[in-house]
Amino acid sequence: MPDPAHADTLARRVAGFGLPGSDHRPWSVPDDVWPSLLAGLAAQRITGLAVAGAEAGWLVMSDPQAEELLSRHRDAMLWALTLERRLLGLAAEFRAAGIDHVVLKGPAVAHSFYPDPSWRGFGDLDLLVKTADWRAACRLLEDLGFRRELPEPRPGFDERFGKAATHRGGDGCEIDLHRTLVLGPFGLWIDPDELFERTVEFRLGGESLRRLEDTVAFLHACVHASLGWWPPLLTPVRDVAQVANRGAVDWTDAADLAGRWRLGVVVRHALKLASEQLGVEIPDPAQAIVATRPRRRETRLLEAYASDRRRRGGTALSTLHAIPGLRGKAAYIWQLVFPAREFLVARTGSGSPSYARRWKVALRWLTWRR
Amino acid sequence: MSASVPYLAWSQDVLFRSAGPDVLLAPPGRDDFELLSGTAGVVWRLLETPRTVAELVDVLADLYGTDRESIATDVHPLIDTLLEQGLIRQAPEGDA
Repeated sequence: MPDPAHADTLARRVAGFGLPGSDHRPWSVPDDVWPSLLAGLAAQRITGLAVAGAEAGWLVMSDPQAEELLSRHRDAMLWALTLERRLLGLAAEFRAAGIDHVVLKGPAVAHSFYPDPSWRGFGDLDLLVKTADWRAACRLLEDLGFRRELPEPRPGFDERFGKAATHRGGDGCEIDLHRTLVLGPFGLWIDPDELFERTVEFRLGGESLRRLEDTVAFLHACVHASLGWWPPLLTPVRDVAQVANRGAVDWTDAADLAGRWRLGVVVRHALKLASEQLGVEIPDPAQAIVATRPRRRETRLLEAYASDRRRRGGTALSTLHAIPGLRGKAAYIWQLVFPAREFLVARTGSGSPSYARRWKVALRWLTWRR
Repeated sequence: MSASVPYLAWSQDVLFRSAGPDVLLAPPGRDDFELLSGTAGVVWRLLETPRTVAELVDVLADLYGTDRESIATDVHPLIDTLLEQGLIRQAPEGDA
């Protein structure tokens, strides 16, 4: 029986391909591990790194392995192209509607920081809009045939406490419409308006689009790697190392912004993840951030995302710390504990919506002993 | 081929990705994709740097160790197809 942990270790090795400090010695994949590794590469959207590694003679593959990898990679790239076509169409619609927007992650990172966009796969599109344009952007997506997956708990929740809403098109394209970069306290501490002041142009299919400038893109990569998923996914972790090494990051500015947005602990965690998981070097100027002693309170809030506390409502509970004033905190709790029926129905799928069940879950979160 | 417009270059509005030796292209205004494999993929990649047909033939002749005439015979129809499909464009020197 092949060891799945071995496949995970090899996937991390692939995710570090070509970065400073990564292992440059050629290696091959035993046949019994290959199916698990291939599945992992596809799921983590890093087939492009494996193909690039194989072309460089770093990843030595048998012919059948190479064929299977190429087939998966072709599928991944066709999807990326489908999404980019969609993005160009959406950008034109947003422009026509007068809605400012910034492309986050996916195509913005692939075309700006990687030597070849084929190295960076993605499965959806992320668009940031200003809070003031949030309703208009949601309406526009609905007019264009997208359906919002989960309604907001109560009217006004999105603009006040929300991070993003997923909209799905009939063709399976998923658009994450953002008004900030992450859910929970760290998202509320980021100044969304400042994000719009810190953007640059990138070209896609002959069109001009906006993305976060390099320093802010680095911070966003850290936010996504540290807070986006638990356990962390390899593509966001790779992005941290990629932008840190290839981007024109102003490290003084990065440290300043991280301080103002209380992201120091998040950046430190992301850089450590990149170093430990991918076995790559952190650029020297970034070491100062790694060396800083994180604040206890923020470390505790990070644990709400990057530990098993996440599954027990850690993010929702920790959001209370970032909401100023008792009235704000009360409104947040009220809207989550007594959401609109439509929200409950969507949350429970086809099952019968039940406030009692929702309260039971909240009670479990609050009384769970560590 | 027009002799008065010597340079060939990628069309700026075509989205594309490498997939090993192949190139996948998403031409604008269409829902489908083009797959360039073998020599067609090589020709596409070479046109990242705008070149004249003669320059392209020279590079390919060196690459494959074949005489220019044979390469030119194969490359002309391919270039016509790529131009027809809007995957590459003709650009005057300096504008490519």
